[in-house]
Amino acid sequence: MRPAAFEYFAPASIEEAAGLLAEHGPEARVLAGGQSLIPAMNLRVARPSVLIDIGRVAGLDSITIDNGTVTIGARVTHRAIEDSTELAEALPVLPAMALHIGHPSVRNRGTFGGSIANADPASEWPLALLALGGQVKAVSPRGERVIDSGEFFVSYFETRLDADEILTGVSLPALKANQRWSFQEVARQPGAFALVLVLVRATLAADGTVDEVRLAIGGCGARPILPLDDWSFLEGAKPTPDAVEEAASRIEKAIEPFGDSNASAQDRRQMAGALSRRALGEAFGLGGEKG
Amino acid sequence: MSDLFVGAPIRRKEDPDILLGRARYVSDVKAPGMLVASVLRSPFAHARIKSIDTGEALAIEGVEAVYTADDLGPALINLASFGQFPPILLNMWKPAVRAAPVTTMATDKVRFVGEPVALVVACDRYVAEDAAERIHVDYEPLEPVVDVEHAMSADAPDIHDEAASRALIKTDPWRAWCTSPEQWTEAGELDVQWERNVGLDMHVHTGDVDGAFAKAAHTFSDRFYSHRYSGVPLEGRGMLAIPDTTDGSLKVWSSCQLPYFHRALISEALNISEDKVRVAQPYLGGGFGMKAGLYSEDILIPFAAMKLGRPVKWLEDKREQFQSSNHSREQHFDAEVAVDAEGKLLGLRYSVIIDVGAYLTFPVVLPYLGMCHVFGPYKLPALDVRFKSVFTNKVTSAPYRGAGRPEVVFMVNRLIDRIARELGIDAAEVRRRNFIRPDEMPFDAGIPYRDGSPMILDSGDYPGALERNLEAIGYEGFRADQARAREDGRYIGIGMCCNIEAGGLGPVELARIEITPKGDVVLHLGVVDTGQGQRTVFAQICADALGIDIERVSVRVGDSAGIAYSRGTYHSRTAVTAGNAVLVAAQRVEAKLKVLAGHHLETSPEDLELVDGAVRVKGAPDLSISLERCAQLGVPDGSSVAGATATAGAILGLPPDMSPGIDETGHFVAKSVVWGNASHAAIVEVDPELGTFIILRYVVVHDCGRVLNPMLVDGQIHGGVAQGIGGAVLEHLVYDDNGQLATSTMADYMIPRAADIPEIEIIQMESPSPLNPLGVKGAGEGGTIGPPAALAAAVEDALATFGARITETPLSPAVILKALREAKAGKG
Repeated sequence: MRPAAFEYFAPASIEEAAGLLAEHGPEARVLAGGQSLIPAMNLRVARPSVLIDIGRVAGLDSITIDNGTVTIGARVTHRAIEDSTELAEALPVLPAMALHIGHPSVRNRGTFGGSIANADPASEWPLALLALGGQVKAVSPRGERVIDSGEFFVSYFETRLDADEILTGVSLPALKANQRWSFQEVARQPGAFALVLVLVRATLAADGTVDEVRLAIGGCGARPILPLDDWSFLEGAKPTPDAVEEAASRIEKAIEPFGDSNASAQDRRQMAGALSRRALGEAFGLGGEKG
Repeated sequence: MSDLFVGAPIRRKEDPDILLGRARYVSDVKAPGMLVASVLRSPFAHARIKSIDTGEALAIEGVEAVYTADDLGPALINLASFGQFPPILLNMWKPAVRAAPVTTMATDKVRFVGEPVALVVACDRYVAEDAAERIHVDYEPLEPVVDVEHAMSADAPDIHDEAASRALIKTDPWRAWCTSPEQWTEAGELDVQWERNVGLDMHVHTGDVDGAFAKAAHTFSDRFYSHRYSGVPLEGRGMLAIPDTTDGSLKVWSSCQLPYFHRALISEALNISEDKVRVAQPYLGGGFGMKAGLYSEDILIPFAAMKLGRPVKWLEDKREQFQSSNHSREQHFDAEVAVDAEGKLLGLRYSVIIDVGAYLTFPVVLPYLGMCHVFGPYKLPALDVRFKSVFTNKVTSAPYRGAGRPEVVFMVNRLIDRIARELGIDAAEVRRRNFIRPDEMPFDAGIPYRDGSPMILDSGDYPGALERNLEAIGYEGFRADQARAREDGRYIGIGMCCNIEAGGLGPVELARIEITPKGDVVLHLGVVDTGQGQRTVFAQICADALGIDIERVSVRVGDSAGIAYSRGTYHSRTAVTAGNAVLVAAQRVEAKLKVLAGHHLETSPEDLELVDGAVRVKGAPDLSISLERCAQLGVPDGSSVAGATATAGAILGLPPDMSPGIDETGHFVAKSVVWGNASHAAIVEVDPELGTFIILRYVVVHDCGRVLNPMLVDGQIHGGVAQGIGGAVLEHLVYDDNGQLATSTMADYMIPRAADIPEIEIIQMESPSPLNPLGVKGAGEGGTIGPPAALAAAVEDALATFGARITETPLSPAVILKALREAKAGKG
């Protein structure tokens, strides 16, 4: 398990990094925390001939909260999110989710941007990006552009990033006072790849009726998905267990998960329904079950 | 002999080295001019090798050599098999064993993904792996066989050539290893028919099984499946072979459990005398039976080192470990049990199909050793078993910690739980009714054990072990807790597993105690410390026997230069065999010391005793000689510096005819194995929607006879239970339909971590074995055997309201949710 030979660059600026990426094209890969790329290279599953280490690029490792928008630099580690007191206030779902990623040594090195760009459909940050309706910022020699979360993920480990684009950060809306969230995950062991994961953000009106629901599911297909477009059956009314049950049932019908030795497709469908029911129940404060 | 150390929780002598990072492993050992090897492995599960082109690889700078089977010459040997049938079993059961050649490297065919095809030796591992990629092998892919049922069907391809098997069996020693004389015709032909891809077919029976089923009040049948997993030592296999070109000798640092077997095999394959081969290891990072096999690299690396005249190192990486080191446990059971109206066992019939993988290297161990464990702790009057070991295009299956026991124990305990449920009798009560009682010990099972000796359970309190467990886990109050939890929407359940455990397999082990002229005590053993604490426990025995402090004893294990012979470490055997050999060696040293001291003090040896590092006159503590002085008396001139005053003919301290120096070897012959036992109980909470569960309590009552060091035994049980839980729940070697291993990294193959293991509550019982002076039994595997059955029972109990039945492992969401769906369908 030794990587094939590669050329290594450690640019000091994002412009330099983007230039290198444009120059070397698809043969090059961007290295951040290396928690997915390096094992893949050791197995020679990934064999980039050029590695562009953005570890020395300034300005990619900060978390800023400004006017209701949370911006997370590409190189912010899972650990920094887990420990962030600002996020604990502004977007507490992220520190809570961080705890489910790998184990401490992985969280110390692995990065938020790396995880988004890696686009593993069973990982936490792509799910968060989609559920919270965030935006991805990418830079290339052609300039900077913003990609909406709903378009960003294409398939397994495949995104809308062009070959010469570097993901520099992600912006997410901070949690509003009338928003509730719940994150539910089932994995074979703490820190292992999730089988199914569900993130809900519910917006409630002052009278307790449901304004909006965003629910995303991971681990049930080639990318994280928003299984239901239409939440009208639930919106505009006070949440009830029956409505939650209805949502879970619709979600089970809407998804087409795959199966493996840990859980069959049918198992995953059932898990997605159960986790959705628990997540909605928790977000709506209906008491009872929690994962 | 006083018992200052034996029985006490002495801290491990090896821990400071290990904890401070001073302990060296094979990977830490370096030699000047060392080269590094990488193995090219088959990417196909089943393929014919048409040609191999190594030219491009050899042209890479830094590559010293590339070897394929064609280059090996006499080193292309058939790797010896272990765990062969003793003649008594061959003659009794006349198994149809289909020996299949296991060559040092693949020749005409590859039979599993990961099988060695070529070896690259280069300046470093990077270059070696680059070169391995540039070896061009022309494969003709053949149909992969991954399922045992399909393997036995007529339209499956033959994984091994039948003619080659017949030819091999005709040769000595295979003829003696595989067949009974009655299996040969007068014309000298083997009179055995083999089913397609069946490597072993054997029928074993004892007692009146038909009668048992005829008179049974109830019979129940079930199918059980134990999935494929294995030991995953943190340190993989690996070795560094250092040739000494001045005398043609070879030193091999090897992370293995069988240094003396390795020495013999290297000597044979490389045609050098055994005295010129030394196999040893520094520290070992786990073995678990996986390192008790003989593998291609065990020959290839020494071969390359001798050929090149330079040290060559090879370290198995994790992917190689999953793809090439022995797997275990994959067995399919079809069982039927007969009981009377009270739930007492009358008879058991089962057939078992073992998915043995590409090669059959331990034919007897897995099926027969496992089977013997149905004869306790429950009384079983009659048994009928049909074994089949079936070849598939997967890694070879061989013993892993437990070695056939967990699978059989799972079947028996699941059947007991089935009986309890069907008859409406409490599961603990059914066990009570079936236990062999302490007053029935020693108990003759009426069948030979896998070593050919009569299987006699030597001692143990099986009912007591369960009662103590039930008391500890709070069995009596549990049903009320369970009912309350159910009201809160929680599904908790309790399960138990009782098992016996054979340990201390013979035939023999040696120990050698040397006291240097300066008085330093060195204990040499050939067994291997795979991490269990041999440097501590053998020092305890030695120190007590010689009346010295434990710190004075330096223990050297696993070095083929240390003593004449050793079998190695496996089958929970070292405390029994080597431990008692230490005692014998110490007694011989004691005798010599007493003669020496007696000669000097003008006292009869019978009046002397060894206390506090001195030989002294009983009742007259002032009259004594220190061990140092005694050691000096044993050499010429009574001086620690040899030849300081070379006085002709003067050997001052020695009695007439006594040889100088103190260096005594003792041995212990185990006439049969000894039988430990354990009782496991678990409480779990299941999430029936997700098919997941957590372990709330885990209690083990463990009896390994006399406990030499309770802390070390606790450690064995902790590690064993952790591995048992890992295997029961998480660890799974999954092959796809093409015979590709889907779980070949640590991200896919989940080993339990601290968060997955509950606090393990241990109660140690001591039923000393009457069969050895120390009274010890094996402690290495008892922790591993119980978790699959105990956890399956607990999960099933938690889901009792749904009627779900758990008959297979791993206890994954896939298995648990399937069981729930089947129960629902059955009810509907």
